[in-house]
Amino acid sequence: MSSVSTKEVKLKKAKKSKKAKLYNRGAWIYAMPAFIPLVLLSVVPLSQAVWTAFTDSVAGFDVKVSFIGFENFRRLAGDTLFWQSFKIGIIWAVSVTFLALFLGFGLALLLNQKLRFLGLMRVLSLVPWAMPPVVVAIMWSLLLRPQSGPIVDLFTALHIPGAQTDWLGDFNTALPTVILIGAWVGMPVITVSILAALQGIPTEMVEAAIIDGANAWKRFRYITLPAIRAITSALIALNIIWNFSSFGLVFVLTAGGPGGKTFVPALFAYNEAFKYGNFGYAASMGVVMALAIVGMLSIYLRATKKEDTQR
Amino acid sequence: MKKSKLFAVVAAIAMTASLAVTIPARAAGIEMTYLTPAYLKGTVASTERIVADWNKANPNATVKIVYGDVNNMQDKLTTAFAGNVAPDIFQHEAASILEFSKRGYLADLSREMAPLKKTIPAGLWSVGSYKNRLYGAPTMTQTYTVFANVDAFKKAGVKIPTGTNTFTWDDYRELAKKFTTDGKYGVAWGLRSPAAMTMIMGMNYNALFFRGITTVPQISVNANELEVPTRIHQMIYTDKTIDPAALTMTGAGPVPGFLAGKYAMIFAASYVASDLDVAAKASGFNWTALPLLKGSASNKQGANPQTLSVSKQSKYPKQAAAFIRFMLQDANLAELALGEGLIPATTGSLKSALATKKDSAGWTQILDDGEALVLAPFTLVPNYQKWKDTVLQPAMQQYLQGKISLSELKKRQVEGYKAIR
Amino acid sequence: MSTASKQLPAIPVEKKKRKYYLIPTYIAVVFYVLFLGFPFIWMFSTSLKTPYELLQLHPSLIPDGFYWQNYIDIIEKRGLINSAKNSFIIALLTAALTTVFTVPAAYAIARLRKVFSGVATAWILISQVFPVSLVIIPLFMAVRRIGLLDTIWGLVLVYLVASLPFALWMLKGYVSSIPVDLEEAGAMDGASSFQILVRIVFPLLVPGIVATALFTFLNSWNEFFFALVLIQSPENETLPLTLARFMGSEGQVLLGPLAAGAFLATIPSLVIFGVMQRKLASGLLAGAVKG
Repeated sequence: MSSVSTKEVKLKKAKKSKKAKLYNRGAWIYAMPAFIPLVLLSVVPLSQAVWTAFTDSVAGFDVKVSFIGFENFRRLAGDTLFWQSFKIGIIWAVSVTFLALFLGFGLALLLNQKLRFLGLMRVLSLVPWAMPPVVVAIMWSLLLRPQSGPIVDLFTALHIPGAQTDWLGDFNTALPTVILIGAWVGMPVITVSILAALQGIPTEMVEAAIIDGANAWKRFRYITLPAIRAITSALIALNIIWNFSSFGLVFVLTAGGPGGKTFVPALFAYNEAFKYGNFGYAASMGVVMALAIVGMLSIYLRATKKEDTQR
Repeated sequence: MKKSKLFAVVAAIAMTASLAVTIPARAAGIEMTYLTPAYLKGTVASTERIVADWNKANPNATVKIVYGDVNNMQDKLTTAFAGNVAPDIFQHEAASILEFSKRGYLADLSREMAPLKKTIPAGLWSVGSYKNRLYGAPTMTQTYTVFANVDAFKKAGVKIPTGTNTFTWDDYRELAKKFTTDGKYGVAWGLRSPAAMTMIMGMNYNALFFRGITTVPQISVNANELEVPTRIHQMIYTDKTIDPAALTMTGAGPVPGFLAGKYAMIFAASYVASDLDVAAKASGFNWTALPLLKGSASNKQGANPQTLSVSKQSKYPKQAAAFIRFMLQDANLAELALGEGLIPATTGSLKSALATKKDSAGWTQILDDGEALVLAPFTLVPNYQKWKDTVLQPAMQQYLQGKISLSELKKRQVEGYKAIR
Repeated sequence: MSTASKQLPAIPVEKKKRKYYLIPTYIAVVFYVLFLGFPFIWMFSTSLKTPYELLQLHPSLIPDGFYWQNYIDIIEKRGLINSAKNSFIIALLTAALTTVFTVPAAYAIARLRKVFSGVATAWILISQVFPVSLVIIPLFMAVRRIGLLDTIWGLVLVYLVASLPFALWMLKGYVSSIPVDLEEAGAMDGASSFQILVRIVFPLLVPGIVATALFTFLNSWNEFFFALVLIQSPENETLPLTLARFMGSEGQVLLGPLAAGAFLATIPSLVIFGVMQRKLASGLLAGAVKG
C-alpha cells in the first residue's frame, strides 16, 4: 500500500470519485435498513431529550410540561456546583484518555515484538474489556482496600513510600487513582487498534530503513508514529466522548467523594434526573455537555486534519 | 457458495434464537409483580418461601417476584413510572419513597394498613407517610450503634454498658480513651460517606437544620447541628482514640480489623451484625452491641426504614395491599428482617425476632433499639437530598479529615443550600 | 513476509543488539502482566473463598481451600445459566443484525457524496456524546410504543442502534479501502449493483466484519443500563443484571458468588478473543485508519 507513490494515490483518488458517482447512484437504498431503526431509536429519543432541555419537565404522575425557552440554561449558568463538576469531568475525560493511550500504546509495542509469554500477554491485554463492568469497580475497590488490602500489603512489603495511603479515600490521590483505573478499563480497545496498525507496517519498509542506517529512534519517529497517527486521533476522539459521558466506574469507586473531588458531570446529571426528578434541568446539563464535547472535538479534529494535509 | 452458506448460518442463528424467546403461559386469575432488592442468600430464600405461601393461599391473585438491585432501584422505578409499567408492589427505602409520593406515583395505603397501625412505632409510620397518607408500609430498619469486642472488654476488666437510654456520648468518649493504649486505637469508624450518618445522629442533640419546613424552609446551622461532627472530630484529633487510617473506609470497612482484634469498638450501622455472626460461627468471635448513644436531647435517631409500596398505576391495589399485610405478618417479617441484619418494624415481628435471637446479647440489644427511631423533619425539605449529596457530603468529608475548620463547615452548609438551583 | 525478513543479513545484527534493551522490555512485561492480570486473578481467588475468609484483615491471594459453594449458589439459585443464555442470544443477534444492517449502509456512506457522509459522521459523533442516562426515558417510551418492552428483541434492537455508529464508522473505512476498479469491472460484466455488493464487496469485507461483530458482541454481552431499564421479567434477565443483584446498599457486596459469576462471565469472551485476536488485529486496521 504505502509503496505506491503519493502521486499515484492522488490520481487514483480523483479517478475513484468520478467512477463512484457513475456506478453508485442508487447506493442510498442500502442505507435504508440501518436508517429506520436509527431514526426510531436514536434520532427520535435524542431529539426528545434535547427538547426536554427547553421545558420544565419534572418526574410526576400526569404532570403538564410546558416550553420555557432558555430558562434551564440560565439557571444552569449560575449553578456553581455543576461547573465545578464540569471541570472535574474535563480533567477526568482527558486524563483517562491520554493515560490509556500511553499505556495501551506501550503494550501494543510490546505485543508487536517477538517476546516470551506473548500468548499470555495477548489474552491478559483483553481482561479489562472482558470483565463485566459492574465487577471491575468492585474488584478494584477490594484491591485498594485501605489499611490492609492486597495492594497496601504488597506496597508495605516492598517498602514503597506512602504504602499505607488510602488511594481512593485520600483527597490528593482519589482522582488520580480513579483515572488510573479508568485507563485500565480503556486500554484494550486502544491496544488492539494500535497493534493492528503496527502490524500493518510493511516489513520491507523497516528493513530498508535499517539498511539505510536509521537508528531505533528514527525508525520509531519516521515509520511507527506516522503509521498510527490516523487511528490515534480517532481513538482519542472516541475515548474522550465515552469517558466524559460515563460515570458508572466512578460511582462505585468513590461515589463522587472525597470532598467532591471525583464528582463527574455525568453523575451530576444522572442524580438530577433520577434522584431529584428534574428531567428538564438535567437535560439542559446533557445539552451543555454535548456541546462542550462537540466543540472540543471539532477543534481537535480540525487541528489533526490540518497537520495531515501539511504532511 | 460461500456467501449463501454464511447467510444460511445467520438465518439459522436468528431462527433458533427466536424460538428460544418464547413467552411463558399465564396462569388464570390476576398476577401482580413484586419488585424486591433482596440479594442475600437468606433473604432471597425467605422472600421466595413467603411468596410461595401467598400464592398457595391466593391462587386467584398470585405474586411474581422480580429482583432488582438496590443501587439501581431509583432508575428502574423512575423509568417504570414514567412509562406506566411500574411493578404493583415494591420494596424501597423511605427517603426515596418520599420523592415518589410527592410526585403522585404511589397509592395511599392508610386505610388498608390501618389494622397494623398500632403495631408499628409512630416514628416509622410517619416516615412512610406524606401529608397524613401512608405511601410506604415500614418493614425493617437499621440503627447506628457501637459494637464491642466482648473479650477485649473482659480482658481490660471494663464493664459492658447495657440497658436503654443509659449510654451517653461522654461515656463513649471515656470508653474509647480506656481502650486506646499501646499504639492501639479504641475505635474504628468508617467515615467515607458521613453525611447521612451525621444527620441521623444529630437527632441526639435535636439538630433540625431547617426552620419553617412547612412554610418557607430556611437553613439554620447552630450548636445543636454541629454537636455530632464536633464530637467525632474531638475523638479523632484531640483524644486520638479513633484510628485515622480507618477514617476513609466505608461504613462496614472496619469490620475485618474489628474481627482481628485491632480495635475494641467500631461504630457502624446495625446490619454489620450479620457479618459479625459469620465470624462468631466460624471462629467464636464474641461481639455485642452497646446501647444507642444518647445526647443532650435523647437517644433518638432519624429513621430511614425499608418500606413496601403499591404503585398508583397498579390495577389491583386491594390485592397488593393484602399481600403487603401478608409480608408484615409476624413470622414472615421477622425472618426477612433478620436475614438482612435489620430490625423488623412491627411489635409482633419484633417479639418473634427476639425469641429467635434470645441467646445473642448483641442482637437483643439491637432489636430493643427500634423504638428510638423517629421521623427526621429535615427529610421533608425540598432539595434536602440534593443538599445532602452535593453540599453536606463533601463538606463533612473535608471537616472530618481535618481539611477545614468547624466554622468553614458551617459556612459551606449554609451557603451551599442557598446556592442550590 | 516475516519469514522472509528473518533470512535478511541485517537481522542478526539486530539480534545482538537486542540483549541490551531486553531488560527494560521484560520489566515492562512484568508491569503489564501484573497490572492487567492481578484484578482477574484476585477475582478468581475471591470466588473460591468462604464468607469468613472474605472477612480476613489481611486477605491472601491463595484461598484456604476450594469453596465451590459460591459457584453452586450462583448457578443453581440465581439462574446464571439462563441469564448467560439470554446474554448470548442477545449478543449474537445484535452482532449478526449489526453486520447485516451496517454492511450495506457503510457501503452507501463510503460511496456516496460527501454531504451524506458528513451528516452521517456528525450523527455518529452526536449520538455518542449525549449522556445515556438522559436519553433513557425517551428511548424507553419508544421501545414501549413498538411493544418490545421486556423482550429480548427489544434489547437487541436497542443494542443494534447503539452499536450502529461505531460499526458504521469502522466498516466505512474498510469499504473505502476496496478499490472501486473492482466494482467497475463487475459492472462491465453486467452485474447489478446488488450483485456487486454481494459478490465483490462482501467477501473483501470479511475481516472487517469479523472485527466489528466481535466489538458488538462484547459490548452487548456486558451492557448494563439499557438492560436494567428495559427488562422486567426474571426470565429475560441478562448476565450483568444477574451479577448486579449481588450488591447491597452502602457498598455491601456478596463477594464470593459475585466473583464466581463474574469469573464465569469473563471466560467465554477471553476464549473467543484469544482465538480471534489475530483476525481482529488485522481486521481493525483498515477500518480505523481510513475512517
